[in-house]
Amino acid sequence: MSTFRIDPRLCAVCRGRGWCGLSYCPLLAKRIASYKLKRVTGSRELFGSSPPSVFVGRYGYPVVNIGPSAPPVTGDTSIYDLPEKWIDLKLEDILGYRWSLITGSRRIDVDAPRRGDSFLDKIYEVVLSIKPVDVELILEKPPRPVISFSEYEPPQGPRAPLEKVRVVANPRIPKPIDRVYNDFDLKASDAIILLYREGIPVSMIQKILSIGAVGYYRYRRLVPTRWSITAVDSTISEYLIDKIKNYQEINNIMVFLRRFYDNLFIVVFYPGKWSYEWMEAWWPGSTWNPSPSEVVVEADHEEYGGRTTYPEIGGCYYASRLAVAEYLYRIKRQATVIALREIYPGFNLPIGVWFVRENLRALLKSKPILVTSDFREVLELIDRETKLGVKKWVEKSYLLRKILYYKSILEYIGASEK
Amino acid sequence: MKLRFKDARTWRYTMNAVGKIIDEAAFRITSEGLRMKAIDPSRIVMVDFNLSKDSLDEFIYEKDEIIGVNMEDLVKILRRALKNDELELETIEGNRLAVVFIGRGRRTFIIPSLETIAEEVPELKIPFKVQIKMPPSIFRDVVKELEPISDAIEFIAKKDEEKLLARATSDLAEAEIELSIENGALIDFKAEEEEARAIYTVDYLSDISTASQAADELDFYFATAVPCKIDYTLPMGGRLTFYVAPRVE
Repeated sequence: MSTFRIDPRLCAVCRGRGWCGLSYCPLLAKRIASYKLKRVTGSRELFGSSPPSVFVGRYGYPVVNIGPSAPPVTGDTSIYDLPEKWIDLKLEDILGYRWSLITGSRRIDVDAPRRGDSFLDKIYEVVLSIKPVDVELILEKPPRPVISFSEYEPPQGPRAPLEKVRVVANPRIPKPIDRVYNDFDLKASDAIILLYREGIPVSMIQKILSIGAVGYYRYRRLVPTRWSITAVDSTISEYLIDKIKNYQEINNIMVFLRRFYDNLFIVVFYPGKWSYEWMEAWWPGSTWNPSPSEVVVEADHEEYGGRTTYPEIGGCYYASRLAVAEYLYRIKRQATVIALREIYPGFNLPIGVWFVRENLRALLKSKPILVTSDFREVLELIDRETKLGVKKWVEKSYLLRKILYYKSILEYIGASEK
Repeated sequence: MKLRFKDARTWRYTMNAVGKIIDEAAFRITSEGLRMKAIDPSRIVMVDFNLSKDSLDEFIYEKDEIIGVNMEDLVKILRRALKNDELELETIEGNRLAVVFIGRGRRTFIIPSLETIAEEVPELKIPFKVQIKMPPSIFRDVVKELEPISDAIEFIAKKDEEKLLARATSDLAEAEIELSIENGALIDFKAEEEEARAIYTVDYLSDISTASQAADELDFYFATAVPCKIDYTLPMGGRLTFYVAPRVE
């Protein structure tokens, strides 16, 4: 249920200028999508190019909903489901893309990949392709073109049970994808790394994992989209961290900062061995904070040895860790990393963890705004730039406290007492 | 090099604790025996494991050697140690280490020796003011009881009252454990400072306290706002020592 309503009179005079305080215009976003969806109104048939895109649900596991998605548009539709490219777009456009993807789904057992399933074979044809594939979806009933707009549910296009799917064009399957798909003795985690090293976008690897197209043959299974995203972020970053641990430590403290649509990201690299912390502060009215007044702060961390439990903060922990690990791998250094995010009331979209991953990737392509050897300067910067203030961030942060309060045993070596 | 140690389980428990602190260890073999010193990745803890040749049942020394070991592998193997097993370590050709349990049968495990750049770990110089001797199990219990309360433990030694207080405080709860010779928790108490106070991270103390099972005695040294030294005396005279840097607010 929505608790947040915009006065329509305000919209009439604002016309997309952001007076409602949201970081996107809900009216415009809805308009973009419904314009595209107009063509399918009332029809059980959909012809379009799948970007490629697939959705695997998690409700009812181990019997889940799975199906290809396509917009009612043909041609190069890859942008409809490629978060790596979304960071340069306006939020309205991203929502427009997401809402105009129609999914025709069917319930099947997660074991289907190793049992063989003709429906799944067609999904493979679509999803393993690097280029959009033309598909014809015959749905059991026409999808309702109305987009439910809720502040709490992920933006999603119309869905309907699928009767039949026909792959009309020839898919183009890149070599590495073909190789891992046909290698029945390659572990799923090794396949993920192989694809990553071959330059396949992370969002693509996530789709390939979710349809059970990789791994030892007898263990192949469908992986709900939500789980596969985190599995891929976690597997790749773990691989990179393993390499990073062999590199030298950075010499100076570096701080990066980025503001994007009512979000603030700050990443601090501190000289030391690898360890990582991810923190988020949600303002009242932002996506995951229904409280009327209290700012909610969550934090999770790992030390050099890594984690053994799932972070309470969720999948964005791994999405952010991937971006940070990629950066350290690129500069061939290791460091203690503290990353934080503030989310202000205007940002009320549950948009997906790609938002964190791609924002941090963009942030780490920029220049650091501070390079210093004095940690006090970092604290001053955090205090100046964040709304929460440095005191509260330090209170919540395990690693900041560790840097501030824990002495190093090396301060007590005999020679230093000269 | 070849050495034999009476009780394989001593190695099992000590290396289990060491393996929680460091990933790789470089054991140095000299004519004096075996020694391993290392600092954990966050540079808060130093480990010093020392088996002099007197503590060994058999010690065949040929030349100075460094054996680099992946602790995860070593701990996994040592977990196989049973009661009444003896442990034999031998460097063998091709830069490998044989870990042999001699008890019911002779079980041999061979692991590669890593190429470690044996960093020279410096000697520490810490002005300790308090020295307390206690059964290792008491130390383990103190850490275990305070662990759920807070992420740090404050130790306070009161010279006049001859007692040690261990405290944990958080937003939710407070806990205090009082230890003295009188109440049977301590074996010996020496203090030069009227009141010594220091705070240490509970994570490290908890890892370290798992070695308690292997040890006969434990000496705990500290002073106000300096590192503490947790010194385990092992059966047959070996030593396992940890230094933990303090937390200062």
